[in-house]
Amino acid sequence: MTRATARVPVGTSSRSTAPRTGSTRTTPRTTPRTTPRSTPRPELRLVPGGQTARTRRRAPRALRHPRAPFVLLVVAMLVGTTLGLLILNTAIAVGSVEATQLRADNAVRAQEVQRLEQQVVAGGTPAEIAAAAVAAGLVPAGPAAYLVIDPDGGSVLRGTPVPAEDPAASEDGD
Amino acid sequence: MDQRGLRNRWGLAFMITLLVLVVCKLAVLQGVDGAAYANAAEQDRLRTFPLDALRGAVLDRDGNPFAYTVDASKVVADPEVVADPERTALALTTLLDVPVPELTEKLSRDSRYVVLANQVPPETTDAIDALELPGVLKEPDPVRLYPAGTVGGQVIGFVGRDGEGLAGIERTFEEELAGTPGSRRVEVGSGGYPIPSGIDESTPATDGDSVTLTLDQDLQYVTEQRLAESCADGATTRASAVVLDVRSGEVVAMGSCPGYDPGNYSETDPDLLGNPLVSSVFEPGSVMKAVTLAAALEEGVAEPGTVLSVNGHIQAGDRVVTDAHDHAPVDWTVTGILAKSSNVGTIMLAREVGDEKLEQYLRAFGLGDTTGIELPGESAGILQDSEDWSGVRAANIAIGQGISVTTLQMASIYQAIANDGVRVPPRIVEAVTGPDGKVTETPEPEGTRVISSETADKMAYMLEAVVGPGGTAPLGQIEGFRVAGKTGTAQRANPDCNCYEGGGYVTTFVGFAPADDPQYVVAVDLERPTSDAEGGQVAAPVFADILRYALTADSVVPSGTARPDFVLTGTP
Repeated sequence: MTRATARVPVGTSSRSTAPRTGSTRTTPRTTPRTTPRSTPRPELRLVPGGQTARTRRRAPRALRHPRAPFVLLVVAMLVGTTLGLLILNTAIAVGSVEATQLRADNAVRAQEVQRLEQQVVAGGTPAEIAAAAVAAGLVPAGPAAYLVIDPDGGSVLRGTPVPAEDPAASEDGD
Repeated sequence: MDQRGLRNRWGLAFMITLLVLVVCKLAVLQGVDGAAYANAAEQDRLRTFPLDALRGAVLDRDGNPFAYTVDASKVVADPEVVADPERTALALTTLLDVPVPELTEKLSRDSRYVVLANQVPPETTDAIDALELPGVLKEPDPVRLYPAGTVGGQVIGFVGRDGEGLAGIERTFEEELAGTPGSRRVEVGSGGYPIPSGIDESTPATDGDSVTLTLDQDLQYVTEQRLAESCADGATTRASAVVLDVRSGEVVAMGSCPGYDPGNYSETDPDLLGNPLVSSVFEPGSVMKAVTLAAALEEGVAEPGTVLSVNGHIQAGDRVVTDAHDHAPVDWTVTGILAKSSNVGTIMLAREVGDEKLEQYLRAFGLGDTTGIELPGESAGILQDSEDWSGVRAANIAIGQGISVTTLQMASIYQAIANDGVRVPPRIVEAVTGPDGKVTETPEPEGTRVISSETADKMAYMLEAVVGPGGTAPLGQIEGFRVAGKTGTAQRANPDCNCYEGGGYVTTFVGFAPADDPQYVVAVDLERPTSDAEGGQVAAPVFADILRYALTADSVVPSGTARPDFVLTGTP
């Protein structure tokens, strides 16, 4: 007897604890089963007329908990959710429109940058610079002379510097 | 009860059958065709926008653009949507600079797509957008700009209407410059705005690489200006020049007149849309004597001081070749033969070298083969095998007739002499830069030794005598610098008769400076069908002007040593 009673709990407890997390699961399963079984039985015995019992039980509940607030709550929740969704959706849509607008603004800026860069490039071509130089009264430089420093510290003049032509006499554009 | 049961049973069976059918259809719709329907619905909301790749720029060695691309639009219309063609045309005429009748005609066509104007700048399309004309739309249509105009035009080339490179660097580097277009797929709502949580996937476009050339835009400009001056002299129909860096063989400037503006190629004579410096060949004349004499020195046939008794004419096969002016025998040194550009003396030396050896030297200097420069349409020139040389042909080749070269090949010969005897094939592309900024430098071509360093020095000395007193080209001198070079005045083949009569002359000058430490090689050739002026008179000044600017702009220090005294005559 003692052997058998000792074996059963060991077996069940080891089965339940090993794969799952314990004996807690076995206890709640057993308790609800026992309570509903035990409670309706005495009720059924005490009151034989089922219909009257139901009406008697319903009427006071309705009186105690009126339906209106619950319905209102549900409606309010529905309306709230819908409004919330609407606001959220609108916010995202506004964001999308804004992003599109910003992208367009960006494109305008890029255009502006491109236009200015184009101006810089066009103004920097040799022909443009030459024309601007002539307009400013500049003339091509004559041959320059160079001072070459020797390793011993002395210096040698290489080349003969020639002054530039008189701008008034020069007609050459380059 | 029995009948009702039977009816109920039939009704139930009917309902179940119906239900099964509905479920089956649902399964087919949802399970089998579901993906396709969902896809179709999605496709209806999806818009695909092409993302254009920006074509890479072509830059000079300092990064100044020769060619670059900017955004622009094509203005198109859907005539079915256009409400009032006349009014729309009136609104667009000034903006697009297209006459009203042309626009009205296009807008009234029985079509759903007409192009009103190409490559319209953004400012104009913004103005058109503001008018809110129904049925008028824009599409991307980038513009290729050539800010420098004709400067470098022949090298850069141009792109066609579809943006594909058709000539020059634009063509050779089409693959690198073009890039890869991308696309953006977006799920859009009814307003055309993207759905925030919807599909938004894009394959970004990869912009094209930019190509950096070895050209110097300023020197290119000066070169072309100087050539244009020559072309305006009334006798020159074509003038070409190329400037090479002696050490690297890089092309620093390359141009000819008449040139063309790549931005306006469609209105240019198609015959001018090439690069004659690499694709046109001509008989170079006396500049080729440098090769013959270098061969003579290298083979030990003669020294610069060797004296030869040179007659005014010499028998070559069944013909008699004379010097520029027939003369009594003169005792010229080899230096004198080059300085005076004696045909007879050069032929005498060439015979000592032998045809086969001479051909070897000509080929070693790069003749009869392309240089491999990164430009389309390069010609190899014409150089026959020495086995096929007749007596007169052999004599002619020694003095630069009966052999055809490009201006670039001619410059390359002198690059080898100036570079201590090592020939570096000319190159024009310095690097290719990816859109991520990664620079891929063009590998420097390997140099090949053509003549020994001593021979190169002797050649530099002899070529300096050409520009010195008693030489044929004192006009090739540049104050402060020692200049070495050689003139050429070759008979030009008349394309009408394939003979020399009436063909005029090609006058050339090729040289380098400073002779004591060469930096730049300049080759000039002028086509002058109606003039008999010599290279020393017309080509040498062009050479000097271009080389002077190249040396000054690069701050090359003037020569520190004086020009040696040249011995042009002697006693044998």
